[in-house]
Amino acid sequence: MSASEAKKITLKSCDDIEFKVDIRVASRSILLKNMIEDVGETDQSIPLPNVNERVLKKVLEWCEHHKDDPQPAIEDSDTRRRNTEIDDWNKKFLEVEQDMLFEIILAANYLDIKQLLDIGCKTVANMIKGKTPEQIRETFNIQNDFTPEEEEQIRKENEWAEDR
Amino acid sequence: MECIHSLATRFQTVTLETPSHTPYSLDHFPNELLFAILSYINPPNKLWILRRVNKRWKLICQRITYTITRNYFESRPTCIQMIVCGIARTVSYHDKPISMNMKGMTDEGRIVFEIKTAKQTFRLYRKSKLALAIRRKCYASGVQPSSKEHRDLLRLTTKHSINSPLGYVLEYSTSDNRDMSRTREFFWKDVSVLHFAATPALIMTHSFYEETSS
Repeated sequence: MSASEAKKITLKSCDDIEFKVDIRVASRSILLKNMIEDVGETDQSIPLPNVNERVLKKVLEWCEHHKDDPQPAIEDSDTRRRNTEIDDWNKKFLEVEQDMLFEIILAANYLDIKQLLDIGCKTVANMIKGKTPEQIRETFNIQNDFTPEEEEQIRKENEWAEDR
Repeated sequence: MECIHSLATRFQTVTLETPSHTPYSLDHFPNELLFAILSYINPPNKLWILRRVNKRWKLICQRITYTITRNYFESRPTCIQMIVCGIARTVSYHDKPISMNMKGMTDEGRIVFEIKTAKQTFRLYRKSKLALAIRRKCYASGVQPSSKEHRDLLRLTTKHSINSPLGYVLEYSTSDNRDMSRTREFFWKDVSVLHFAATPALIMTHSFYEETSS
C-alpha cells in the first residue's frame, strides 16, 4: 500500500454509495476524526446512515475546500453570535435549494463539522431576518400551534418591542 | 393467490412512489439546532417577534434571552446599575416613559430595582456583596431591614440618588475605582453592549418577577 493510499478512507452514504476521501478532508468532521483515531486506518468503508449521497457529496466538497483551515478555536458565544457575516465562497456554496440547505445543516450537526454548521445556521438566520412570523411559518413550513387567544395575548405582550 | 400477488405488487409500487421524507420544515430540526439558528438573530430584541411563530419558538427564544442575560450578568458582576441604565435607555429609545427606582433589598441580600414603563412594571434583582454588607451592618446596629434608616444607609453608602432616573449611573463609582472619568469611559463602552443586552434583560426580569410573585 503506497503512502498516498494509506491516507484515504472510504465513506458509505445511507444509499450505499461509496466515497474514497483523503483522511485530512474527512477529519474536518470531528465524528470521523475521532473514529479514525480510535479504529486506525481501515480498508472497510465507514457507514454514514444519516447522510445520503447527494448531501455527502456536497459536504465533502466543503471539507475539501477547507481541508487546510485551522480547526476552529473555542470562541466566546457572544462574539460568535454577533458575527453573522459569511464569506463569499461559503455564501455561494450554500446557495442551494432549501431542502438541501437543511440537509447540509443536519449532516454537519451529525458529522460534527462546527464551521459548516455555523455557516448553515447563519444562512438560515439571515433568511429569517426581516420576516414577519407569518412569513417565517410560510417559508419554513412551520405549524402555528397557538390558539387565536394565545396569539393575541403574545402579540399584546410583544407590542412595545415592535419597530414602529 | 394471483390477487394477493397483484396487491403486493401494487403495494410495492405505492411504497416506492411515496417520498422518503415529509416536506422540509424547521419543525423537524432538533431543539439545539433551532436554538443555534435563532441565537444568530441580531439584535436580540427581534426575538420578541420570533416568539410569535409557535410555542416551540417561544420557548427557545426565552431560553436564548435567558442565556444572553445570564452571561451578561455573570461576566459583569458589578455592573448592575449600568444594566439598569441600559434598560432605561432602551426603553426610552422605544419612546416609552419610564421611571426607575431602587426599591430596597430582599432578605437574601438582593438589590431590587423597579422599572415602570407605561404598560408594565419590571423588577430586577441582583445579589450584591455590598448589599449584603449593608444588611449585616443593619442587623449589627439593630436597624430594621427595608426601614427608612436602612434605605438612608443604602443611599449614603452607595452615593446613589434613589429616585434619580436616567444617567445616575454616571455618578456611580465602585470601591476600587474612584476615578469618575474612567467610570464614565467604561460606562459608554458598555452602552453598546447594553443596547444588545438590555431588552432581553427586561424579558428575564419580567419572568423572574412573575416567578417570584406567583
